[in-house]
Amino acid sequence: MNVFLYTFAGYVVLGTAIALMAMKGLRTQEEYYIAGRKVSGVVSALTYAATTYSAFMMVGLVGLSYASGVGALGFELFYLVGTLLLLSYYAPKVWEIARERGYITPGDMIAERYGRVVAALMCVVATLALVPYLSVQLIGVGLILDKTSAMSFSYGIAVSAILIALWAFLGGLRGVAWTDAIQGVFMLLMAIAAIYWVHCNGFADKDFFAEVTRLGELLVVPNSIWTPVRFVSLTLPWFFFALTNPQVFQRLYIPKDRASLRRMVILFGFFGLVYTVIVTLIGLELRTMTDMGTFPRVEDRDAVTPTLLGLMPPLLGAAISLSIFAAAITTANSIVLTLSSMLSRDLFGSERVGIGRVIIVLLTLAIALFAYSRPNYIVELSVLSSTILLAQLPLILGVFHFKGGAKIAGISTLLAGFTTAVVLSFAKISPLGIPASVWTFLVSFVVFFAASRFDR
Amino acid sequence: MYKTENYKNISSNTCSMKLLEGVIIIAAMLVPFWAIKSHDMTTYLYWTAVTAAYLLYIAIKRW
Repeated sequence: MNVFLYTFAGYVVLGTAIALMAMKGLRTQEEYYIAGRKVSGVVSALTYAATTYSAFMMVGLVGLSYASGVGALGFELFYLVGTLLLLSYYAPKVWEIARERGYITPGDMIAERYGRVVAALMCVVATLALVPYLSVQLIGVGLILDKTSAMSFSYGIAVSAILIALWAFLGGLRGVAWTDAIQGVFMLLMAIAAIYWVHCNGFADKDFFAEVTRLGELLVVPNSIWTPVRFVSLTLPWFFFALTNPQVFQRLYIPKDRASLRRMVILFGFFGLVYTVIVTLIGLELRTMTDMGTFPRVEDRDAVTPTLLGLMPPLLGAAISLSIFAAAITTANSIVLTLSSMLSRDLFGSERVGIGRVIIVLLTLAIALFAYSRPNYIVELSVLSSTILLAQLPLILGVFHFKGGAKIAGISTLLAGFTTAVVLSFAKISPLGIPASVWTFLVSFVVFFAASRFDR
Repeated sequence: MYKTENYKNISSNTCSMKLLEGVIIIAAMLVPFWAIKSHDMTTYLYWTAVTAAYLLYIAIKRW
């Protein structure tokens, strides 16, 4: 049994114990899905951060910084300032209206303005967007476990799926938030440990700021990789992530008071900034080390972190692998719990917690089967998730700003936005040189305003 | 049916101010695309500083 498996066993026992402790009193959907709106600011911030920052950070973003340079930081920080901008304006309004009217799912707000059918359709769109995304997270975790531990790809997926379902099933949002909080701190500490190790091994007797100039055009934007079109294409869906992704939108309902809500946003921003800076710095330092001849050249950017882990001392490598696993689990179980609330409440109209628990199991099973089968289109669909979710944006903004628009506008917007995202992305076409995400954004708003004329 | 005009916290003034804030922060984040061309960590440090300053602003201001 290797070091990772010992550490992993401790992680499973601790997480399950926390989820069991959180089980008490989860009788209503309000208790189960939003922890009775009684979560402190610190825990809200950590669960928001752990839900947002998936395994993409320590695997995808390290590799993206390594391969494409400083543009990766810009892409991620555009997301962060966009989120701060949106949350500082909409979070108090959403929190207040949700409390006044008893909203539990994002669909509850949509249903009140646009009708139950639109909320149900939004639930279907969100599920179609997020299930492939979750499956790809599981595939990524399975591959990392396969490389860094004695656990095979299939066992890795099975264990991940069991933990995702179990902790959400037992403890609901309260269990997920508590385990997220601990894992969020662990993710940040391990990122700090990783950058410290990389810096000590690569630049102990050298000046990083002098050596990094070797990267040339990778230190400026635009460059041959980060063209303006590519930057806008990737950044636009993420800029509105805080409003369009149901798993983070629902977290706006959970803080116990206004002060906690404010603390959530500010602490999340601090976490996000520190985590993003560290992760992108790891990528840039490793790329500089490659050019210095002290780190292997890695052609596949997703293989950069596994290569790094292979060079680290076993205990540190195991701890960082576990933090990557934790990042994937925290994102996945939050999404599964939110989708379960939407499917049971918005689609099936059920008020029972038991139905939600059954959906958690079925949803996780579907995600795991998707991950096992690894169909060709799954990666394309997962990349598409944030673009597909953009279709909801006019509806959400409409609640606060637009007088027109009801059932017809809601249905038309979701269908048009979803179709635009899927067709353009699968056909790999960019009419007029404009990327799919921008088309989806434009089409959704145009259809919303046009169709609003048909709603009374 | 939810009526936007009934929502007490929405005013066109606060919305316009937020829009202006959004334009300023996006413009600040776009500066490296035309104004920073040095092959060193300037762009990296600039983006980090702008985000940190905006976070500080969000933390200090009333909302």
